[in-house]
Amino acid sequence: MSWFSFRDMRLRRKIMVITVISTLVALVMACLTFFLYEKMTYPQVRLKTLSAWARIMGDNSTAALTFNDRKTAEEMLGTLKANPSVLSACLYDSKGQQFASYQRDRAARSRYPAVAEQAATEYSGGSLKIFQDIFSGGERVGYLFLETDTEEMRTRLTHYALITVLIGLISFFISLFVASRLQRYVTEPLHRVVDRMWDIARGEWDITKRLEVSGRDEIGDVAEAFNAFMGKLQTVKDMKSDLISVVSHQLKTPVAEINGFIENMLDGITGEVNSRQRGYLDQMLVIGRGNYKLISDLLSVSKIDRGVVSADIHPVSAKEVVALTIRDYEQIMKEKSLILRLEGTEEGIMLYADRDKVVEALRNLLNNAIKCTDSGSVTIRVGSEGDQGVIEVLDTGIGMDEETLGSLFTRNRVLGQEAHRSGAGLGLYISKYFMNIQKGDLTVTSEVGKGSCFKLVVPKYMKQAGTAA
Amino acid sequence: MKKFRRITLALVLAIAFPAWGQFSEYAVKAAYLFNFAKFVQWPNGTFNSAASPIIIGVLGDDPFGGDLDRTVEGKSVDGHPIRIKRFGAFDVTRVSQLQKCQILFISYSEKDNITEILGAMRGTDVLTVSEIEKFPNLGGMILFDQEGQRITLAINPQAAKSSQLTISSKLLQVATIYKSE
Repeated sequence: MSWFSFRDMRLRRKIMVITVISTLVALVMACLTFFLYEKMTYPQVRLKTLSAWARIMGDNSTAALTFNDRKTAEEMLGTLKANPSVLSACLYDSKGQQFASYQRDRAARSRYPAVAEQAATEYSGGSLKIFQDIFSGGERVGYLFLETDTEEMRTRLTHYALITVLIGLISFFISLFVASRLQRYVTEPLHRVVDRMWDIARGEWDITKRLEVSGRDEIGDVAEAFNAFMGKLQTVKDMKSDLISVVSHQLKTPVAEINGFIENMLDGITGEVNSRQRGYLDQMLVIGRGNYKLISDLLSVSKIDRGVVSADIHPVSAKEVVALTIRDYEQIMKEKSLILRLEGTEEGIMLYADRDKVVEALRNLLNNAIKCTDSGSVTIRVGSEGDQGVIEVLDTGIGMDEETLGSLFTRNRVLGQEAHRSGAGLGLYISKYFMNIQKGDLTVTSEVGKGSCFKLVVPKYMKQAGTAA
Repeated sequence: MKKFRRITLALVLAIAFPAWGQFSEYAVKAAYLFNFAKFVQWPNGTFNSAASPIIIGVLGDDPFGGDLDRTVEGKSVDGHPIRIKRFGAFDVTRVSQLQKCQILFISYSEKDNITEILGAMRGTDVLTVSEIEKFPNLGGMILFDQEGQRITLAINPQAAKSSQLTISSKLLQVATIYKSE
């Protein structure tokens, strides 16, 4: 990020830059004003001071002039040493004759202007000159000439510049500090909003979430607008869910009926079925069952979306669960020449779970295992870890890579390219959801080319406590 | 304008008065005598009104000739016009006349009567000036002294103070101060 690209700066830095620049501009303007004011008014002020000096000196020298006392006059002019900006001074008597003089630097010029040729005041060449008449008792007794350099003014202006720079530096750091503190009031709520937006954006389609509206400023407006947008989105999504739900309900029963009729035909209830007819009917049944599964899954998902899925938890034996799971698959496995192994089913492990939902989850896992395995075996292993019952489904199939594993339990996968092998792909999402609502879980480990292991965990039934752990 | 005025003034002054050095001793002293009026403050009540004259008395022989009259002619200090009074030699019967002066110049000719004169002037608000040696030591106020060519002043501020006269510090600055023991 370039320092000069104001557009690309983070808001934090933008605010700081704006604050610091406006502080500095104000300061520079103020200092410049003072500087110019000083430069304009200083000669006048200086002249007034010099005039006052001249009047005092003149008044003090009246007796010396009147009584012709040069020594006293020189002594008096000598007191000008106290004011180092006075370059030279000269006292003239009433006739304009030089009477006494003073020179700051002994080596400097010794010529003083004649009374006649000097204007009352003159500001030139870095020096300020003044002529003052000296009166005593209404009579002019002499003149005083004073000359000062403007070193003091230069020094003052230099000091002004130094002070300006110093104060500029100090206020730069102070405003930087203040800005870095104050910018948080703007950027932090904004960051919160942005973070929450990203959370929601990354979230698993949970559009019921809303941003907190932190204030009535623009950031609050953003949050409100975003919430309104999310509301719209939810309406659309609800419509979609309702549509799926209605359509699925309407389709589920006819499909189940068709499947039943096909099964009846295959069972020979409608008369002899020849081998060609059987082939077709078998195909129809496969397609019908696929459709039925798809419709069930969609219905489940829409139920999950609407939050109307609940678990009906009772003690149930793991053996019963496994038995219900494998009932419809033994035939298929035989046809694919896969070996089904059951392990630990005789150990009498009791689960505290919703039987139907665990069975559906296991059937999904088994169905997937069979689909993904062309040769070898599928193992269902029952065990326990602490107070959790564990049912694992292992296959010797194609396995999955890391990328696939990462999004395996999300339903976004439905639209992905994996769909070709596993139907709608909603099964794992539904399974995991079913396990989660009964304090269980579903996890997976897999290796490409070697097979996968899905691990289903549910609470064990504790006889002594009478309830779940 | 101011410049022009100053040129004119300088010319006028140059014509009217040549250099100081060309003035006679008494012309200078006459000027000094007049100028004392500017640096001395008399006590309240000395003048009857704001326009009352300042009287400069000359006791004894007048060494000024016409210089004193010329010096003060047409001049005034703080609105008080200047008058000159000549008294001749000291005369006890005319002391009250002397006491009416504001400045009394005691001529060298009165050297022998000086103690008596100062005794008579003691406690009055008259500024005493003289050229008699040791004048301040004797209780006089201002002495015209000489330092080479220059006329200098010696002042006894104590004497002035006891006569309720205030001598400006500026005048004291240019004078030798006599301090009584």
